Amino acid sequence: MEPTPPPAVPAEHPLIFSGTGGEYFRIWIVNLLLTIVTLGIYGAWAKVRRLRYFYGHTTLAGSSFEYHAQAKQILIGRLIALALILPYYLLQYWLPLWSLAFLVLLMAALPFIIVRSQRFHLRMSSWRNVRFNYVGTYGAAAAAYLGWGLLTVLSIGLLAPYADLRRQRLKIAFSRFGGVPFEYGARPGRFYVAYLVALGVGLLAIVAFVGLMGVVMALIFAVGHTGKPGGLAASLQHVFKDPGNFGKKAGLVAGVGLFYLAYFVVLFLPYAIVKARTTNESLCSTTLRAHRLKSTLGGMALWGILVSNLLLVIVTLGLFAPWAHVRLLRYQLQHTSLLASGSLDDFINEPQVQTGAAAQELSDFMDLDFGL
Amino acid sequence: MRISGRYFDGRSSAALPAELELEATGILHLNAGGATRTASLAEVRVSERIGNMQRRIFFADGASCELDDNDAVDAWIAAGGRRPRLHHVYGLERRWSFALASLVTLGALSWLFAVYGVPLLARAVLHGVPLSLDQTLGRGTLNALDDFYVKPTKLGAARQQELRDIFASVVNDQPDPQRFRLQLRRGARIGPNALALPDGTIVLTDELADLSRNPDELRAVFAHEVGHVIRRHGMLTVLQTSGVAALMYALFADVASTSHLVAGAPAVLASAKYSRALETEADDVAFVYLKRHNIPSHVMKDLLKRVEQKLGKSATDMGYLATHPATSARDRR
Repeated sequence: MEPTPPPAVPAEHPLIFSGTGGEYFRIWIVNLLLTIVTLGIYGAWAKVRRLRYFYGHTTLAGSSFEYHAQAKQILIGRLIALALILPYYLLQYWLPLWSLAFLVLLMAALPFIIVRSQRFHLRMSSWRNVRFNYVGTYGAAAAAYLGWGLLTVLSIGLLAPYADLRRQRLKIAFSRFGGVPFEYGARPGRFYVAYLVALGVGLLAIVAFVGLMGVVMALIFAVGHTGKPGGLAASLQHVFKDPGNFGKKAGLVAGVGLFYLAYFVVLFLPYAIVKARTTNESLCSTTLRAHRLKSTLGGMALWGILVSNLLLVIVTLGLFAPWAHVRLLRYQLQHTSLLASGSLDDFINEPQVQTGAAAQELSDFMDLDFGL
Repeated sequence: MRISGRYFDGRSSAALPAELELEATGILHLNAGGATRTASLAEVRVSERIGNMQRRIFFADGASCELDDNDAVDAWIAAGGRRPRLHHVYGLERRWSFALASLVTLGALSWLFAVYGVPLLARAVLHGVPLSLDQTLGRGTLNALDDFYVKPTKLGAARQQELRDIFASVVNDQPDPQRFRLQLRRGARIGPNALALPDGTIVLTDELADLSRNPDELRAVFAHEVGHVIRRHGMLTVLQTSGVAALMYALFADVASTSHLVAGAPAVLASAKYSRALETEADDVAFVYLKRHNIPSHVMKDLLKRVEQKLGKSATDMGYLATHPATSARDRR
């Protein structure tokens, strides 16, 4: 049989996310309630439901993704992780010096945890009934996180963009779909450009922020001088000397709160720029056989979503969180697509080996984010 | 009933358009590109329903089929005399009324937990915490006080000795008097005040000493502060604020990570309530002391009234007294 040559123009299959905030809110709130009522045990089921909801509502070329982990696996993993992490918390309280030794031990285990966690995550994921896999090694993870981390510090941050590339590479280059490896070819130059642009924009934003604050301060002082003697400085003293004056105190608290909020709004900008540009470069340089990935995230759009999410989550005391999660995910997924050259039908399942959930749960406990 | 889907043979990623005939007896017939297979409900696993995602039927040999009609699948499972996996959870997630009920229940539970659960847990943990930690906690606190809040005392040597004697008369009542130390300071920013540190150090400000008109009033103050020390209120506060937060995080790390605000808000609101409870407890220790030494219990109230007058405000509005039971509430006791 003659192999059919790949078509000149690859077919673009966008990732389509069909989840809605309202639907996820109901899952989230029931998860929260059942987890609390069962003293945390349902948390394992909650996690599976949450991930299955997001996977199941993400469609590529007509087929949705599936998350296969069983809640019981997650629960056992969590118990193991708790048994490992609990001594650390206890040592922290009673023997702070020993907890330091534990921390060193944990650092040594970190690459193992990262690799195992990613492996569990990917082996439990499938598309079109074909599983993903991860074949990263301890050495590769140690080099990416500990080695390049150390070099970043030694180079006073000059190597930070490249270290970031190595971490993103660790995630992608060892991933497989149906036994076929993802090839990663991001260019370091693009990462440096991303960080430089972020640095420039960040500095401009800080200057603008400080300038704006200066103007606001000057205005307050000016008003203070014409209105009542002493301006803000005096009214601050007044507030401290007379704490019974609740209205003023609340005003001051609100002022300080707004300042912090503005601070975060400014900080998010360089973060969003780096995230958008490096993700684009990473994914656009990733191939799977002749197929390619495409990512078109925009730094400003991402920033807008992050900032509005933060504001709405604060205003709603956290109740907006499910909508915020869905908004961010939808934006990210819908700006990612697969450029398929030829058929997507010929990926073959590789024989699977079971893998434990403990490492992933451990990494969740320590709040390490290198998952989806 | 007939539904459509996509069939995967368990080997490759090729998606075959499939037609399924689901019989009420729990048998399914699948036709995918001419190939057919038959299975019973007992032989397959159907993925549970979440939102409106594509369901899957998993066959024992690794093949699977994506299905497009969730309601038809549920009806088929029900007709076969089974219940879809975790269907009761889906029932809860499906309706807004349940979501709102969950929200209200969650609010009530958080409130109950913050108001009753946290102090209970903290007290349970307190028994396991060695006393030596209270010492460590106290040492740092006095340094911080000296650096930021108080100044060296300006009282004369005779007055200082007098205060030390009064203090000794109170702590000598305790089984372990050498645990307690009196530190005299000028209150400066904290004004007329007395503080108990977890290591047994009790700080009295010049301003409060000046406001007292007889030794019994100061005895009442010292007995109150001794109450804070022997009931380990410093450590209890640390446990209530930080320890329980850590516990909540460990328990609900997964679902609560995005909802710290929801889960944490009642605890923050309840913190004033916690310290009021501690003040009441310290008062009880003081009242026992006063009674045993035949000191009228109104001496504490007398001194507090003078503090209020001195500050020209209701003392309950003051920062440091906001957590103390209002004077009028103390009157009723």
